Amino acid sequence: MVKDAKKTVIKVDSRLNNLIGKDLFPEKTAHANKYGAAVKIRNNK
Amino acid sequence: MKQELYEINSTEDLSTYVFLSKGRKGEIVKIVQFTHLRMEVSPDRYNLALGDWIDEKIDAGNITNNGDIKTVMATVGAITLYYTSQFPLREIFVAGSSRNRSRLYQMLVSNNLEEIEKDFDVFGIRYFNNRSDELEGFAKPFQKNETYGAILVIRK
Repeated sequence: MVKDAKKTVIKVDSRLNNLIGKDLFPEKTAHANKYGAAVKIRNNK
Repeated sequence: MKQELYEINSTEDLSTYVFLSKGRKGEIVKIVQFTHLRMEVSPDRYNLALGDWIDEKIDAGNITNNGDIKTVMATVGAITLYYTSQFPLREIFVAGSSRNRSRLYQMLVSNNLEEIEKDFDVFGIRYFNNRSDELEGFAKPFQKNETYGAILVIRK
């Protein structure tokens, strides 16, 4: 089904609530913390 | 952006999203999670991670090859749009789990840059050198002809 991304309805599913507070991707988070957290933004190309 | 999307469910705190990829390998559960990063530069920077739920655990490096990459990435885009509509000040950091995966993300952003830039400021972060996964310490406006190790998007 083709949908407009800006009008996408996302349903909250209480069955997923056991995932709250869990970092499911610890390696990716560690990588992002190592390299992404300190990245400064420069608006010039 | 009008594109086929999968139905999306989320946790109540809107940090984690689940959808079902349907393709030539059958149905595969995909999970997207936004995780808060340390507050070195911005207090509102979050990592976007995407992975498969296989055998009761996450596989973040799996190449699914389910033949539906456009629909999967459009769904991830819709999730990002929704997430940043709920939390508009949050910066979203995206890095692939490998150089190949980062290249794929970069290609998808390049191919849809004009559409993405209607809603987001898009920045690219280059690799520090060709030998490691280390990234440069700054993000610059995304350019199609550059090679990036990570992407940062901020809702306009």
